[in-house]
Amino acid sequence: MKEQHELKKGSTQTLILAVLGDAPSHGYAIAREIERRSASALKMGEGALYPALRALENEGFISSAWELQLSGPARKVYTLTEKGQGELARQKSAWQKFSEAVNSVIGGAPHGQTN
Amino acid sequence: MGRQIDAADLAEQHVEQYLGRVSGYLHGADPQIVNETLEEMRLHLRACCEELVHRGYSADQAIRMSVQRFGSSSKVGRSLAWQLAADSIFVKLYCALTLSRYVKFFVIFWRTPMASDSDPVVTAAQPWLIPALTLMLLWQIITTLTATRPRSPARVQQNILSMQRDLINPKYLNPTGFLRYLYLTFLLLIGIECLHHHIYRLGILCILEAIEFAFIRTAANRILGRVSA
Repeated sequence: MKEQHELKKGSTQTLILAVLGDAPSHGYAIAREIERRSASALKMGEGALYPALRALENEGFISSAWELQLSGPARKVYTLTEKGQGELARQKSAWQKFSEAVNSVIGGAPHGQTN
Repeated sequence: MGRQIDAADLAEQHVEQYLGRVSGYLHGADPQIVNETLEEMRLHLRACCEELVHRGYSADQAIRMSVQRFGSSSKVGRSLAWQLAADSIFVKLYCALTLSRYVKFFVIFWRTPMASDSDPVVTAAQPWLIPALTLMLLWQIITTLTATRPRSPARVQQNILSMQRDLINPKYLNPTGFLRYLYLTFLLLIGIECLHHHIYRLGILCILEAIEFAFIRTAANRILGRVSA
């Protein structure tokens, strides 16, 4: 259960990095973009976004600045740093390896049976 | 118009109540960073409400759904505390450990048949030692409770620096490895044995010493790591 929790926490940060990898964005837009890209399949508690953003900022993977908007109040906009781009590439690769491994177990033939 | 204003006020009130609960977990964090984070969350919740109202939900439904989407305030607050007020968590831990040391001394000098019969110095010192220790114990309880008050982040920093000074003292550098576990096992066995024979004060003393010995090194390392970073 502990591993599952850690995986979820790690996943939130990966998802944020992936969204910011395309364009700088603010908290609410990041949440909506994750929901849109996953076709609402990934609905995390949106409040979890902010501790994850703080953690990523503390690690130096993202930077932030308050920006005035054309309409509405100023927003804190997050941008992926160079270090964050490297981290995103690393996490994408790690996730791909993990999902391939899980897929091969789930989709693989039972032990002793070969086609 | 009046009803719209009421709904907007109600939404604002709900959002502020939610953020108030979250901020309750952020004692000791930098107030500027806390305010910025709460403002971001406020904007997020308002935007979410507006979107849901545009989709046809009533203001009341929109607030409830927005807060529900955001997740439990205690969970969000605790997660944020680890990011924004981690130092204050270790300050609290350090203060709790110091408190356990005071309790330990209090237990040693409390009038027990064992102490008064066998040690005339302790018996002679008891009339002034116990009130002095009681005062120190109360002072430490107050310090522990107020070490990370939200309005005194400078105090938190001051506490961290004073801990750094304390921790340079070699008495905190406990032996590691086999000796460490041997000492812990010894303390716990003595403690359990004392409790078994109804010598409660000495038993509690040994168990407190074991707890302090086990955790002070971890706390010291974390605090020193934070301070040097």
